[in-house]
Amino acid sequence: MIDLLLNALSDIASVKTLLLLLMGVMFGLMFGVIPGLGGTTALAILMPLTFGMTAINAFAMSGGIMGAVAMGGAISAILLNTPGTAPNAATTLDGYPMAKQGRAAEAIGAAATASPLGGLFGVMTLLMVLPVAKELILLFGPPEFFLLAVFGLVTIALSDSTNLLRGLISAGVGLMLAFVGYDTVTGGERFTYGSDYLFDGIPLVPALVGLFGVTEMIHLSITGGTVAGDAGEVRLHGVVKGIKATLKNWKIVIRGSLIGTIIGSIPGVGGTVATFIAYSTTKRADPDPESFGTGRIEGVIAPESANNAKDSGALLPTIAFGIPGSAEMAVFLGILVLHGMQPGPTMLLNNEREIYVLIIALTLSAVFSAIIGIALVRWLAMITLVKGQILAPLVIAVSLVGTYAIDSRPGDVVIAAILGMVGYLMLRFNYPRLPLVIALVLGETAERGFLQSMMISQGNWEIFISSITSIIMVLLILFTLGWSFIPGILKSRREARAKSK
Amino acid sequence: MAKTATNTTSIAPVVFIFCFTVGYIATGYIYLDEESRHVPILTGYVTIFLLALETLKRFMPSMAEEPKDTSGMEAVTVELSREVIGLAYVVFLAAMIYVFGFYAAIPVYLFVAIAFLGSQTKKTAGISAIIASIVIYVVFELILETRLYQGLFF
Repeated sequence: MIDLLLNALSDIASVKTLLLLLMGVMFGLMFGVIPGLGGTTALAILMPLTFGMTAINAFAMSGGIMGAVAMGGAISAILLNTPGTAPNAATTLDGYPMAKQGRAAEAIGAAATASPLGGLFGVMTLLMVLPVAKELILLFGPPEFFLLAVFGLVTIALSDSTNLLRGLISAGVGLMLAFVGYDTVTGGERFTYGSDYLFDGIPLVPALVGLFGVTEMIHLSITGGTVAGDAGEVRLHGVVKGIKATLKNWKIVIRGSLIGTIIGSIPGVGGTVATFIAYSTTKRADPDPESFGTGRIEGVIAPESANNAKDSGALLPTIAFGIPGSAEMAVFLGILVLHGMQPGPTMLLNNEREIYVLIIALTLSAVFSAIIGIALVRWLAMITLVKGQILAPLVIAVSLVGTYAIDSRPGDVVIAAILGMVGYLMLRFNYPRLPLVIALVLGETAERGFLQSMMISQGNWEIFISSITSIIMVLLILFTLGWSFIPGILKSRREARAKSK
Repeated sequence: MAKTATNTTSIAPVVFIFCFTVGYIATGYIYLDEESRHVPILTGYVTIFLLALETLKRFMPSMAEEPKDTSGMEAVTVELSREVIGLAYVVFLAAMIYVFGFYAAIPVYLFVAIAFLGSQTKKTAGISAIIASIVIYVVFELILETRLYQGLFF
């Protein structure tokens, strides 16, 4: 492992790679600061631009973005009471009251320290778990991969407990789209309507650019206005006080990071849950929980350490099993595919060097983003004053050009535009987009695993419970389904009983 | 950034997805051999079943819960006409690119979208359109050496 880390360090130590990493950090900070955009949009827009780069450079840039978005989001959460990304919402609870008390710099200093420390903790955990994951993967054959794909789909579709059915419907539509094109098992052509363009299926990168990048920009152009009315006067006195407070509260940092890493590694649960759990756990453990929400620095440290740690956690299922645990990871998976890698077991065995480059990039970006974030905080806050009506058309145009540049196919532009509009309608009618994307990614794996299993077993369904691994997978699927539906059923029964009384 | 108020009660998405799924299943039966259509058609039927449950949910108030909003953004109601126009601009851009290519489509789209949809001054729109077009040319044609699409006529 040390050799791999040293090799990765030497790969990343070139001027060009470091510059790209810094560009990623700047890009991530900017997209993190603008509420509603975040890492998914940043990665989706940047993804086509990485096409001409080597995989190492592309990973350095992507790692820069992923590590910096959390810090950017914390800045707008603290200064404007508007979380830059959803997981930063927990930071507003105490961060904004601190800003109102004139302690904005202290809060930003705390976030800038807790965020990279959380990131480092997550990366260390990932480094320890990766060798074990390699052994685990050898236990997986076609039935286990089918069940794993089903598990990934079910977990993500059911991750929003109040929107279960719509999550499953989105997953269904995503699966139907995933079956378009050449059938890898039978060799037939499906749902192409004679179009050569659709022979390879719905291309992943234009679909991701459309569903995340274009969708968010359509939304911004329609809602209009600026992100914030007034960026305010940002005074940078007290940053050191915030840094010291974070180091003093190291137990909160470790607890928050641990929560972030574990929850981040569960597909579909998401960073928002991780940061709120980190916040509430810290609040409960504090001798004076009532004072949280009035400007306690611990209320900034806990969610911010969880926020950056979650990225390393989410990387594990993406790299090891090809199951992206979040929208951001789904887009990152697109970048892996774009650079000729097959996320899943083969990647862990064949692309170790690139994985370690990514780990180093995440580590460096966490540190760089903290330093740059503090240095540029005032200017970053001003980005929120850029008018949405100007920003949105510019980003849409660049996204579509980037989408075309990958394969030079005009059809990709059409797919990105269509799915951008579909994504907006899904947003408008409250249908989650993530299950659709995950289904698009996992559809082929699921179908191939299923058909291969049936061929091996000559149609005997018992193959899906024939090994310890597959039994565990089946139990996990059943547990996830039960965990999602049973509380709702029990609640409606309780309500019916209360009504009858 | 404000967030559009979501419409959780409209039947339109259910009807749209239902029609799409029925078309998908029909295509599978008409054009595909039995082995190839097995899994896609099964997925279609499961989706229709889920759509039926989603429709039934409207008649069972205990099941019809509002999804929680964790975005932390303020929800605003936007006029339907503005949404239609916003979407129409994307159609306009994609169609322009397809027919006339990037170098004709992008400056025109940016100028029109910023000046009219974005209600900015024509000067702001013009400057933004020119600068963005130059940046796109420099980045893609000169730095990345990617020849951008010139449209159907070139």
